Amino acid sequence: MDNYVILGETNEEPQNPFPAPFNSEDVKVMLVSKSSKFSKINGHVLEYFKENPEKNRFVVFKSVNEATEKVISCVEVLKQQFEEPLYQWTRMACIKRIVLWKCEQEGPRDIRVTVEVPVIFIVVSRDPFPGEHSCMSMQCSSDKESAFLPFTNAPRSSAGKSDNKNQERKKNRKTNDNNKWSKPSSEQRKKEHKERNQLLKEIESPNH
Amino acid sequence: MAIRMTTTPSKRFDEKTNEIKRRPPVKPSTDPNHIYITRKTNIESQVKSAETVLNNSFDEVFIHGLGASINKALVFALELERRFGGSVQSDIQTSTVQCTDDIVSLGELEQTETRHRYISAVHVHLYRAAS
Repeated sequence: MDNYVILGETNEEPQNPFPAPFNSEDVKVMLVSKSSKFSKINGHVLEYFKENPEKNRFVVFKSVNEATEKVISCVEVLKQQFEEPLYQWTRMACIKRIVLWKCEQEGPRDIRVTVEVPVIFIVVSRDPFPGEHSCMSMQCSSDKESAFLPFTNAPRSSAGKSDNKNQERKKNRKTNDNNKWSKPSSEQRKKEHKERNQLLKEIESPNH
Repeated sequence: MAIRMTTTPSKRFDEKTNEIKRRPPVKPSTDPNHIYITRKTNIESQVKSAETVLNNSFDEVFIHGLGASINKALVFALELERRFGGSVQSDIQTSTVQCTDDIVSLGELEQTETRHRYISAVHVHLYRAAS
């Protein structure tokens, strides 16, 4: 790409994937980037909820420039800070980033690179979501465990598997007890060594 | 000689006299259809193995990403969705996972402290859409 220069970059922004009323134009959308501060964003949202408690019932969080981790952390912190239960609806979309590379030399044609970058949208609402939109992407801050995770409290250890494997290996191992040509075991060798030493002592003793 | 274990309220500790040992986070399931994405995961090879899992043995796949690998987990889920076209749907949930670190004093080896960290996590449920 030595002879190529970036001519232009365009981003195809995804639309708000939520149904009405969460996608209307007057909805409060918090754009969270990598440099955003939790305290500022969450303070702003808490103030928004307190400002007009009857009207301001939900906020949409959206990630900017691949700051998906930050949005999720921000919402998790907000759920802990807010006393009342908060309802959360998460959706994923992608930005199409099209970069046009122009060749400085004559001959090779220009290159158009399309990169899909994930964007996360999270609706945080003080009210439960309407039943007709019910799906597994919805959760509540009072939920202790994730709905689709088969979490078990039983301790998981890899030792059990390896024990079974060892037992199987032991079962499969051939026992050469009756074969006189097989390599003697360590116990047999020790025994033979002992007997040999005893014989040598008897031979070397002055009584003989 | 008993090992003394305490929980540190503060996150700070002297790195010169202490060593930190991070315990691996608890996995919700060890089934083959649960995929854990880390910063070291190769997305291409993982997508291929997830495809074989979805095509042969399971109708659903769970993708988990913790902390810095959340974005990678979402990229992975998007790539899988793209490969399967409209035949696969996804649900996303988020959570906070508690991780434990052991802080071992280099001077007194029997003195160990534990520290808890909270990390954000994402869980994507990919499943075959009913035709």
